[in-house]
Amino acid sequence: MMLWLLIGAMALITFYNRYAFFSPRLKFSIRPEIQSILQYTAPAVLTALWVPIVFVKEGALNTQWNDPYLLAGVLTVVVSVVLKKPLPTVLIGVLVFFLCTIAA
Amino acid sequence: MTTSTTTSRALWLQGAIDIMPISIAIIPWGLLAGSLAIETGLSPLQAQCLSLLVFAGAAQLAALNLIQLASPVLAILSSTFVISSRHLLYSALYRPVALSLPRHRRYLMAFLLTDEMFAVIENYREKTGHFDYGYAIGAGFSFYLIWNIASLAGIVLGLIIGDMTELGFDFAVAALFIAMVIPSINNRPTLVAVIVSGVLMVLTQLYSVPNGLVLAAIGGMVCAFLTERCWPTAASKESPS
Repeated sequence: MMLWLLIGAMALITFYNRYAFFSPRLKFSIRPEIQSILQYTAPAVLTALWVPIVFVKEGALNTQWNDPYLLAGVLTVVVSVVLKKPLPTVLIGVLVFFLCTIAA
Repeated sequence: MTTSTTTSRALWLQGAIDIMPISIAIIPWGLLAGSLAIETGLSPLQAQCLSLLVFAGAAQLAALNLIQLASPVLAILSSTFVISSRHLLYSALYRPVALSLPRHRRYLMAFLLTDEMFAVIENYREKTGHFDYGYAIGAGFSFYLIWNIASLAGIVLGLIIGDMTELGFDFAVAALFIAMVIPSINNRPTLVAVIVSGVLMVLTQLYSVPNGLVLAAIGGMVCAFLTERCWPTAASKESPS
């Protein structure tokens, strides 16, 4: 029962965060400066999501070059700069990661 | 000449196709979310409802870890709020679009609004110069279906195999976001957004700053804006009027 309530409450929270600014009852219009700032949402948030997976390990900077996350992560960045196409980049990155994991 | 119905149906399909590489890359994470829920002690139905109703990978995995540590409910709910609060930014960016939609469409779009759907519809908007509701729902709903099928497979695997947390599925997500972000760096402000939010995120992690993700993202966005204003280049994006 407790778990059901928890799931329900979590669902309400995630929906609220997605819907909050869609509500017409919220009376404000977004100023041009804010709109300009918001156009950088995608690169900023997505970067903040992937960077710690690659560069942080157990609360410290990941400096071990034989670590699969660091090695494959940096390589994926390089491949992405060269290829610029998401799907082959992901496939190569994940393949390198699993090869590193097996080798480690 | 095509009617508007067939056009919007074609765009629905286009959205579903465009998000497909991301949906495929997210499958391991769905497997992990499903199997971890079983391992944590949720019933299969509860595990599936987590993916069906909460529909937020990072928040789901964090909550399951906290339940395993027997954390208080308030801690679990605040972690859910903090992790998913980045969606407030997407919600704000799409506010003008959402306000032009009828209520049931606003609800549906908000429900489906994930990082992945956002990345795809934002890319579409940059390419075509406009937002399309059919395209957005096509992308969002097909992603929802695949996330839930992957979760279901994870639940079944969790019941059969057990622990799958050590398989490094989180790297697939990192590779995916790298592959989406790097090609989008086509001007100086975007480069600044990526570098600043990346560095800030590492710092907030090293010093265990709460709400690090949102702080890092907003820091990157503000610095990008300042770059756009103070150090403009010909290639810089014009701010939408």
